[in-house]
Amino acid sequence: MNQPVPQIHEADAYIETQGTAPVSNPYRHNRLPALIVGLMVGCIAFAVTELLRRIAPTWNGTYFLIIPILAAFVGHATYRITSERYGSAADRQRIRRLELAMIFLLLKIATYLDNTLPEIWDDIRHWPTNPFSFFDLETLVAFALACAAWFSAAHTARDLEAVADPEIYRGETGPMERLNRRFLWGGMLLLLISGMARIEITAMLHPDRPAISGLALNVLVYFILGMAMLGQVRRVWKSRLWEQQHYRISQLLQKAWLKYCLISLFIALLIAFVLPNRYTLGLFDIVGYIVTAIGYLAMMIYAGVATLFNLLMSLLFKSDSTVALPSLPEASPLPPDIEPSSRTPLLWLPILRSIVFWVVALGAIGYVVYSYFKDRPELGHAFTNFKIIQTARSWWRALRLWWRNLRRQVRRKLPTLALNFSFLRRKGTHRETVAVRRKREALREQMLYYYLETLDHARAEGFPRHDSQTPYEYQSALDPTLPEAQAELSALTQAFVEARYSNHPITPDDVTRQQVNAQSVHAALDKLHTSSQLTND
Amino acid sequence: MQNLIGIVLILFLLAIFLRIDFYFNIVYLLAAVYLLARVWTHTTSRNLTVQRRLVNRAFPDENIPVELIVSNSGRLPIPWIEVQDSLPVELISPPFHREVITLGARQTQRFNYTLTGHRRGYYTIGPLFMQTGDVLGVIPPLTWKQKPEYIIIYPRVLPLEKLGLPTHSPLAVLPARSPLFEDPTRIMGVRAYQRGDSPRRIHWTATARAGELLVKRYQPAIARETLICLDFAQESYAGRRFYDASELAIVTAASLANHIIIHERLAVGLATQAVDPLENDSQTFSLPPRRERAHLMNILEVLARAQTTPTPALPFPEFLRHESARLSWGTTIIVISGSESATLYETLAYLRSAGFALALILIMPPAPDDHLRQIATDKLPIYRVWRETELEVLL
Repeated sequence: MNQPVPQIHEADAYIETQGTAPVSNPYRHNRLPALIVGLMVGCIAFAVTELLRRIAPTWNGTYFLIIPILAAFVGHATYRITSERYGSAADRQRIRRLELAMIFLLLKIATYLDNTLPEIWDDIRHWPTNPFSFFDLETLVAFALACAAWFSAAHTARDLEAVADPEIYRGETGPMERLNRRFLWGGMLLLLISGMARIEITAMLHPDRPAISGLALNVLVYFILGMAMLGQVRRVWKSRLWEQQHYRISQLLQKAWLKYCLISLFIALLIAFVLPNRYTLGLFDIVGYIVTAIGYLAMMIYAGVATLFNLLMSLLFKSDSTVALPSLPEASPLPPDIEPSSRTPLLWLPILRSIVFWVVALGAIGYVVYSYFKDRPELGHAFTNFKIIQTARSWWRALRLWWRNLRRQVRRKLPTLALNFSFLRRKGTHRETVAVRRKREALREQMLYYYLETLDHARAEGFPRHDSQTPYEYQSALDPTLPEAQAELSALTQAFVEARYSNHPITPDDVTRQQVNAQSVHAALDKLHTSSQLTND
Repeated sequence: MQNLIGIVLILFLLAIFLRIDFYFNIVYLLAAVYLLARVWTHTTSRNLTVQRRLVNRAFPDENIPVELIVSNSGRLPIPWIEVQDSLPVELISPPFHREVITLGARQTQRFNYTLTGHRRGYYTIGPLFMQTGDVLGVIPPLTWKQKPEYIIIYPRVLPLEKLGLPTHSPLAVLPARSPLFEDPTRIMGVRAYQRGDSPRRIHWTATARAGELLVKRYQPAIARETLICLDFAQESYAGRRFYDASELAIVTAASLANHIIIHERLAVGLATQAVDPLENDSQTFSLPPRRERAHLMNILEVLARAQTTPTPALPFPEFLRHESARLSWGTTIIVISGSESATLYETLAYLRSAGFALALILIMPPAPDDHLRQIATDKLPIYRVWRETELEVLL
């Protein structure tokens, strides 16, 4: 018997389920996702309404807010109902077209809410003669917004269904990724619209304009709702994948997931409100002030030193002869009083606040970027392959080398000076920092590595170390086989045991020695291999 | 939400450019979500430990209970952990042990499952894969695996009658015609004390009972050691019943070793060339004859691990000569092979002439001309193990 071939949309690679979606789908009879999607669309609609009200302050755009929410809710519900009840795609399309027509009519009616009955009647009388009066700009814009809400809700409903039932999706971009992408792009759109609703277009390019304060609650609600929902969707998605792979899922997982998702979002929200979001001075201004302050300090130090030097010089080379000073020309009269500057004197508090802001903001962003690259080392490697990065790295290495050599020379030539200045001292006199400890541990790891690598090599040549053998036993077992490299093998083993079982410090020289010894043993093993091959031949 | 970082960066630049305060709040919110997820996941993953408890040696058809202990020693809860233990199908039938759990702060969960070894072998239990991540999916999940453990299922040990082999000499020990040596572990009886007898020979309990000094009489023997030489080259077992025959050879060797150590209380050793899964290469196993039970377990372990080798270091007859060089005069050598050849018989004849007691066990169907072979090889005991009904029962 021929199996029915599932129909696949070419555009998005979804299989038409034709009312056969599994009953276990948690989104099928759940109104909560529809409500959340409706609210999120409402957040965007609110921003659009704000923007339009800024253009036309007298315009009552309440319906602009309500209709998209309804459209989103209806779009979500319609997708669910049509996919359950209507098997044919044509039927579904017909229902959807009807629904959109209904939404348009509803919008048209809503545009008349502010009008009186005679005004409405007058407008209706013009419809046959002027069809454009029916399709006016306001209604069309509102309809476009409602359509966007309707389609995005319907697509979200479909993606949610695919998340709960991965069998119905065959495309490249998974439903989770589609949902995430939709959420983030929606968020970006919302932010842009909300920003435009608060800022004058003409003032946008003005660098000295004041910051725009105030909280956009709809933006915040959008992001919080979206992330909470995506967290739950992710759980459903993962649960389905686990079920497919026959994992036994803990009963507590659902509650725990929701709890930790909400806790995470709450903490993140708290952090977002605690951290400073205002600054008086821009980043370049702050850098400029810091550089100026450092320069000023340097000048002060120089002036102090120069004054002392002059004083000493004047005491040493005291002269009784008086020098006749040349007569100065008569001073010109003072210019008229300069008007006081209109700019207010800079206060320390705003500067400090700005510094704190930039440190926090750049620190957070920097750490996020650093973490991102650290979690994805392949991106880091790709990044370092750029020519410019390689050049910069080689310059940096050269600079470090130069600095190290300079320090060494200064230490050698001026030992007293080196004792007084900490940056000239040897590293050994420093208290051990985490970085130093890590470096030391890395050296130890290298010591172990060379020994273990030699073991691997020996094993490949047919001299495996047995589990019961200590390094020294293994050495004595291998010694007769490698008479040429006995000393190196002994040193290698000794260094390994010391690195492995003692806390003695390891220096780079030790590592180099270990490497050389390992190479000698490898060479001896290779030689043995070649000679045994020759014998066999 | 893998592209969250891009959005955060764009938004941050936009916020600086437009100077809108709440943009920074959103930047902070998204950055905080990312960093929280990362710090949480990385911190909790460091505190996650998994321990597998099992007895790693068992006999066939014995149940091996395994306990998996997943612990979170940290103060942060772990939202989800995917635990997947890789198990050999020979020990457990699918679905394998796969769990998704959530762990609270300082919480431990235990899982139990049972493995059953039906076939001898050296099996890898694990590696155990674990995965954890954040609930929002902003960072890639962390996956790590725990080192695998190993379990040895010993070969089946059967009474010799089941294999159709005699339970006593000449396989185990050969009494000597001339009493050159005596075996103090094999007491034949007692006799009256004579002048010159060592006081260590006095049988004190018998003396007390009889009221006169009695000394022990030991069975004279020229050898108390036996070496089982197992031919485990693939070519020796070629044929339709390759697998059954090679397994029967192992069972035969294990049963003999067990019989000699447990019932005869004599020393036995093992020499074979086989692939060792531990080294993943052909190895020569040479366990010298000893009589302790622990030694029997060593022999069984080797037999459990051994796999037929396609490339033995030495041809089997040569290997026999090589191994016999280490044996003392009069040692019994039991040769187990899946094939016979003129070279093998020549080698056996040579060994016999060198003073070793020999027995040949062929894992082959019975042949009517065995007595002719025995005559030709100076009454070399030849046994054949090849019973269809037994094979089914044994394996």
